[in-house]
Amino acid sequence: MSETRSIYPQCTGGCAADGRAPVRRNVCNCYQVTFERMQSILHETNGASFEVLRENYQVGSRCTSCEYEIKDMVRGWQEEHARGVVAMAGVRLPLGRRLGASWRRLKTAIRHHFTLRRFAVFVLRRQDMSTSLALSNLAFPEDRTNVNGKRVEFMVTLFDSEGRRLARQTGLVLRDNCSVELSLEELFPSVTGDVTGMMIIDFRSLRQVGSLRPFCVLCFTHGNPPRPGRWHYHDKYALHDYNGHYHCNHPFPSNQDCWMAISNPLARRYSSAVHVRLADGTTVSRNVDVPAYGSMWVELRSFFGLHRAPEWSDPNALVWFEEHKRLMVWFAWKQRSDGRWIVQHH
Amino acid sequence: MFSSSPVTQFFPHLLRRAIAAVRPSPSQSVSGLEWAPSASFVIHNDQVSTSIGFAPCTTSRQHARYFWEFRLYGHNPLEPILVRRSEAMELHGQQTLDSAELCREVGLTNLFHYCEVMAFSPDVVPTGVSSVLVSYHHFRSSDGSFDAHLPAAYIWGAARVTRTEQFHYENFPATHCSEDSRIVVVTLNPFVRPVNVWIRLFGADGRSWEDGPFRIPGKGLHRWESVDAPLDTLASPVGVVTRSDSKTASFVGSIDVPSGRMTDLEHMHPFFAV
Repeated sequence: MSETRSIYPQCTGGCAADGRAPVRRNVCNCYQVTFERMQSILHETNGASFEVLRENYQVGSRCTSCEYEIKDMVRGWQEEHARGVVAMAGVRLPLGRRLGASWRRLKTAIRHHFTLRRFAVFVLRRQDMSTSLALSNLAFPEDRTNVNGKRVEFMVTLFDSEGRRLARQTGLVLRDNCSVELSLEELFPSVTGDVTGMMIIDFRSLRQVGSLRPFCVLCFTHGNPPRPGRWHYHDKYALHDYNGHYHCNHPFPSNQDCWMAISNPLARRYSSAVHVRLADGTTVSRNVDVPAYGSMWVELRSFFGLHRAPEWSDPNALVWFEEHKRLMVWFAWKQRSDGRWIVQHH
Repeated sequence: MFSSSPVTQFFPHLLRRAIAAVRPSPSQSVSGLEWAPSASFVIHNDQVSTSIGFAPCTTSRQHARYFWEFRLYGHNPLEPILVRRSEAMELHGQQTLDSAELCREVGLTNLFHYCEVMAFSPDVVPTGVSSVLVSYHHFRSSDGSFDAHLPAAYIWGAARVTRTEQFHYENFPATHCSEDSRIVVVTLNPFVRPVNVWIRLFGADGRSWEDGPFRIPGKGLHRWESVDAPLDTLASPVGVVTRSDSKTASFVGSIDVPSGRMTDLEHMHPFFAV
């Protein structure tokens, strides 16, 4: 059976007067089909496709704005049905499904209790810039309590560019509804000097990731007089091999240098050809070879051996990796005039 | 085949249960995937411009013909004010659009508009879990004080498992707040009907403050600034959470108060359900 979650968000501070949930929520406004009615339609049609629903119930056939929401509901209904958690009033699911669902829930609970939930993020420290770790442990706003309990425990391990373990900080705790930003100095006081590498963040007994996706903040100084700057980036969402090409479609903008950060979160070496195609049709290829848990930080012009004038730029250049095995890749741009950075994953 | 067998006639109830328990789950088949559009926005004024780049290899490895259709929306959510369709592209091709040429085409001097990119291939269907060929939007100021490189937001077809209950939520941790810096949040409504959005700020100790609702028209966007927020009462780092009654996409950035200019802009994430 699915859990009942009917708690409306609590208002605080300057919350709007009508911050409570609406009494009636339409999925299809044109035909006034409510969320509940849509669920019962899905049930009576056994999760029929959007096209069948449009044909027979008219939902999504007028302004079409609900097309994607209904498709999401169909997909969600099918997945919940497959897991055996759909339980409509007056309806009983087959015994086998209920037993299967209970067994899967038990397995998930055991796995979450006894295994660590792992994330990895690229880290860097130089004289004028350094990475810090940002974590936010917010309860889902409609839950009475945080599904992960009153606090989450985690540990952070630092690896260098060759994949060697530099340091580990264990026993870190983040309380419910709290956020924290931890610098490399705070996390690993024994590690000094420049760092190019990767942090692995392991959470213990996490039921849901929720807001806990780890972010890093690249803190830097730029301009004259020097001013602080910040840019967030997060773990690359890649639980499996990628179904596209790791790529960058803006590698050579004017007055900026583009850097590539790579971290290999797995215990096996990653090797691939990396190509750049310029607007004039020239294609240049290089190889990357990243050891297990290793990292790379390279400037793209130098990496590809593109000896061009400093003012050269190419708005149509494209960089892509041939190999789609799991990897984490970010691109960072540095403004030549004042040293400001931006970072983005791909 | 079971309906005419003696076993079915003898144990119909038990057999139906057994078949239901072992039959393949509908969700195990993803062959029904179709390409879906993504949402973003365009800024163009005397300080900031936008370059929109699209490369099919972003989420595809299949050699085929690819197309993209760019749609810029104004006040009418049913009728884009501009539609640009590409020629066929190969897997490792790339095309870009510049906001200056969009401005010229629609006859406006400034743009702060919702847009969509519908990228697809008529030859192949999506593989894997993502059915969106994402475009990237590079925002840039003429004086070099602002740059952002952001993927378009998923309306549908994302690989991630998000948690949406009564409302949809997105969050962003550890924003920077000071006397010289304030928070800006841009929220996109990819639907034709209007949606309401609330902005909530969370201090590091869990104390929160909420503002809203703000009504965003269909295929529109909303910009919120922390002008009235009691930032001095919220301990740093401050988290931002948006709440909306439909699936919206939000971006958070900072404004340099003395100059009034935006200095950064990044994308927010939904709460993850796994």
